[in-house]
Amino acid sequence: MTDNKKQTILIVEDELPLLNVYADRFDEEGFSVFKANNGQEGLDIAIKEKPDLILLDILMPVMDGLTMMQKLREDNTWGKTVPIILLTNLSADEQRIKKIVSENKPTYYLVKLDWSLSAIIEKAKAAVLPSQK
Amino acid sequence: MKQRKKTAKLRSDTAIFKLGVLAKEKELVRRKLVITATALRQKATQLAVIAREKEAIRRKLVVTAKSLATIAKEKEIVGRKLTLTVEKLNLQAERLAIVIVEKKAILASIGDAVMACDKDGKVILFNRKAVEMTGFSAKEVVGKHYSDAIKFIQEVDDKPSPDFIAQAMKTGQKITMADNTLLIRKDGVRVPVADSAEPIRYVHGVLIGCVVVFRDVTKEKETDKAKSEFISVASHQLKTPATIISLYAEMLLKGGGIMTPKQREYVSEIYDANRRIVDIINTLLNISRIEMGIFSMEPVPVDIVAFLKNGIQQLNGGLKGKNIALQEEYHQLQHTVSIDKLLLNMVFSNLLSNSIKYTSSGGAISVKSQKVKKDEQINGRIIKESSLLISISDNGCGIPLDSQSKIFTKFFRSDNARREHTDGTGLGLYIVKSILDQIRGEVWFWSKEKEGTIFYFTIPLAGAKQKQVIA
Repeated sequence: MTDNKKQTILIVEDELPLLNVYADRFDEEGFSVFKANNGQEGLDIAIKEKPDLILLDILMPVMDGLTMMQKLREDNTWGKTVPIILLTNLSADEQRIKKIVSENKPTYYLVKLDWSLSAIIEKAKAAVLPSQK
Repeated sequence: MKQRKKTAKLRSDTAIFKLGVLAKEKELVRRKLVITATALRQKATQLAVIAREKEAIRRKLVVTAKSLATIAKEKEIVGRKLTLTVEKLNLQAERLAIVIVEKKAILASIGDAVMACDKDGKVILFNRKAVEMTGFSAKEVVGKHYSDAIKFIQEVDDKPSPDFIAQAMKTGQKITMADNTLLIRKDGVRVPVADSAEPIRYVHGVLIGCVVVFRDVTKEKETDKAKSEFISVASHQLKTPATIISLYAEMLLKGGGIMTPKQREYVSEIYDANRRIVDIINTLLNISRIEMGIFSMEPVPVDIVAFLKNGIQQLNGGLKGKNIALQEEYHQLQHTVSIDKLLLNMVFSNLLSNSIKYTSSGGAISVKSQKVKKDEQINGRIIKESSLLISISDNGCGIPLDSQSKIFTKFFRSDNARREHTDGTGLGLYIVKSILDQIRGEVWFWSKEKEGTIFYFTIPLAGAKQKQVIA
């Protein structure tokens, strides 16, 4: 990377072991990591820190991931364009999620169980690239 | 004196004359007598003939009188016999009446709905439970053709169910209703039903009609749904811990040098075993989604031939690894049908990977496609609608006879399958059957232990309906 400023990522996940392993792995990859335990916390940190990328769980207490994403996309110029990777094990209503994903670009949707950490890192790096000037 | 003489002479002359006349008269009389005698003789002869005839007639009359007497006696006997028969018949009629009443009582009391129709399909019996279940009175139904009387539809697409009653009468075999059949009640309410039609045969195998038995399966369906929901929730709960194990094992395996080679091997085993748990979770979730009908179906035009070739390509590793000879035979270069690719892939890959799994090294597998028409018979199965028929045959270990009726049952694995591969879930064929039920396809097989297996499945040419899930 030519840019010596670290890329920032916000990870929003209520399941602590998952939050920690994602955070450790992204840290190893040279990202500056912000952590949040639910959608509300995530929204607050996102607005304050404006990360380059958000890794977002869907099913969470207080505020779920989809609501947080819609709020971000609604009222903020930065929020409209920040790449978001939805990470979930919720697959029952794939149809609905796919629809929301296509309406909220740039958004990606990964099923946790099907994706290894290294595959997620690759996806994250690819998602961040277009936003770099 | 002379006078006297003269007188005397005259007198004698007169006498002579008289005598002459008399003689002539006598002669005449004699002649007449002769004639009369002849006539009398003739008469006598005639009388003799008549007498003979009369005698003959008399004799005949005697004979007739005798036979009349005999006939009269016989009549008397027949009369008595008839009286006896009438008595017997009355008795039998009474017995029959009792039997009929008994049978009617039995039929009426059967807990399942029973409808019987004659060979022309006219309803001749409709029991109490049938009345209760359908909302139609027996009067409204009896005498009508069964298809005008009650309606069965498919839950999947609301179309009329395949006419299993006609099929039973046509084939002379018991036909079971297709899964997920609904009965439309008189008030329009739909009731999930199950069961069968069995042809009625008379003594010499002559078809005289059909008995249809059906029952309300609402409760079974509800139980089934609750069970599917439980599996779904439980599997979902397992996802997060499985993800955590997977990601942490990955972290350890990535950080080379920290562990000894043995430790690395141990973690690798944990990682692989967890992968298997993940596969089972995904399979269970697929099943519960199919069972609950909450998976989406997105039919797109699919070239089946290209699809099969691609499916084979995906499993090429397994084929090559076991040096299995694969033969492909397609009915045409390409054939496009509207179907959900993901679901079709689950069906085909399950069947083909089974074939590969249970065929020994150096064996042979063949994949074929062909077009089949309604009512055509393929290895014991009557085709319900014009379809594409895909068959996958192998010369593998086969399915033991006593397992053949259970292979589509959830979690069932035959003993020889267990011996060959210990790690199967017993869910593959169940998924295949469940998916095909949803897309109106069918699946069946032929198999002989140690000889091989042929699996057949159909894709209706009419194509599949889109099914959106409302979340």
